[in-house]
Amino acid sequence: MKISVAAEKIFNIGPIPITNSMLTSFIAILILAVAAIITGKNFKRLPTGVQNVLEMVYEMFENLAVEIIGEKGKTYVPLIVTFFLYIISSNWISLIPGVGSIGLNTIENGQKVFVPLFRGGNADLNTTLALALISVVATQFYGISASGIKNHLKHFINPLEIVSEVSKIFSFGFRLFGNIFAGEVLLLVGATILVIMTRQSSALMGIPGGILQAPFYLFEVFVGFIQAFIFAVLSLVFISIYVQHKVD
Amino acid sequence: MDLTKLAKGLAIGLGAIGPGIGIGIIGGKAVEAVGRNPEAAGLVRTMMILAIGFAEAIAIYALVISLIL
Amino acid sequence: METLGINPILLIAQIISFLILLFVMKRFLYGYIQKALEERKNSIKKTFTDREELEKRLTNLEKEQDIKRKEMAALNKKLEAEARKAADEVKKEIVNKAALEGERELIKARERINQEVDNAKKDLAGQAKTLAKTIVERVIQEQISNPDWQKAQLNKSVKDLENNETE
Repeated sequence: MKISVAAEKIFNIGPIPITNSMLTSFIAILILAVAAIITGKNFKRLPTGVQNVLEMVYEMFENLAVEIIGEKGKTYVPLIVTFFLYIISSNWISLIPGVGSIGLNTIENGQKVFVPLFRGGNADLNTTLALALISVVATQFYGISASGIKNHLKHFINPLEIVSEVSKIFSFGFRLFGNIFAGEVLLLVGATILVIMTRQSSALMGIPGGILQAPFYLFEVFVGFIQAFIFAVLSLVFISIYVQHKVD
Repeated sequence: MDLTKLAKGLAIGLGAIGPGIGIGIIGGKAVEAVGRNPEAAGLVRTMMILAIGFAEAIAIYALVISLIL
Repeated sequence: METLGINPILLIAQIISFLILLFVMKRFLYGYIQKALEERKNSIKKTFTDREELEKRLTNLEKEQDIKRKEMAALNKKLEAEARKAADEVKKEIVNKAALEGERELIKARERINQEVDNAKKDLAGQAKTLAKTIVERVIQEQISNPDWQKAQLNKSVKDLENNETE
């Protein structure tokens, strides 16, 4: 069993290599976008089903933003909610059975290598670092638009502040990546530990393996939610630091 | 002798000590806070989850290191 | 970088795909949700203010009703008092009238009785007179017709006369 930290390439579209993580995150984006468009088109006064869930999430973050920043915090809610929805749907999609286990056996460097067709969207550093970059850049952008570029630059009189901004990107990115990737590894280990221990790779081993996996599975559902929530709330808190300062 | 496996184990094992203690302290303090001020339970829970997220990130760094090695 | 699988092209692709998602969500969903939440908040606020107003109105109505009820009670009392007074007057009048009539009757009756008594007295007097007359007539007749009594009477008269002379 080989655990690859990097996402595996499946095919190329022109110069862009498409990895299995990207495929999963595209699916998540597609599902969310379609759900958003359908809900927007059939928007009802009395919410039902998906609309109810979306409204609930939006209201939760709106209340949080008003609590942390104040009435003007409502401006930043769309970005935060999109972070949350994208991360949580991508996390939960990666828990669907088949993600990470359906794939192709390819020959690479003369060795037989298993390449899964799907891999959790956030189990790839590219995705999480992209999200972290967007979050940090958006924070700076909101800071400038709230207090003007001159006042905003006063935050960086101490050069350590710049270091802390850069480290925020890695902190965001690695936290999300590490949690989700570690979760996938945990599930994989939980499912295959009997196979490894008994050295009998029969399909029957999947049954006790699945039972062993169940508690980890539930835990991963929880982790998927918590990580999405942490990412969204931390973004909101960092925005509030730059937006709320008194102009003196 | 290949010490890579030992290094992997030490990286995540030692790296998990600090965050483990930290998360324990955070959880304990949060419970204390809720016990002292039950009305603020919601706020305390949010703060606790955020703080645990910060503490946990350190263990995750160690995990990443051990996976890369 | 190689083992971590960080690839600038993939990074940019992910950023762009997220921005597309953000744009779609903002364009097609968040506007509606914001509007709906605002509307819901307003409608809830409105129901609260409406309720407060209704409650105020209700208390006002209750107050008014209370005042009216008190007025009604006062009026009732007044009317009752008046009615009682009127009834008293009527009663008094009736009693007075009855008393007057009774007196009148009494007087009449007394008069009648008096008259009757008078009549009876008169009758009695008349009868007594005639009776006395007849008795006297009869007695006188008897006495006069009796010679002894005449002689005695004569003697007596003589004596009386003698006595009167000696004195």
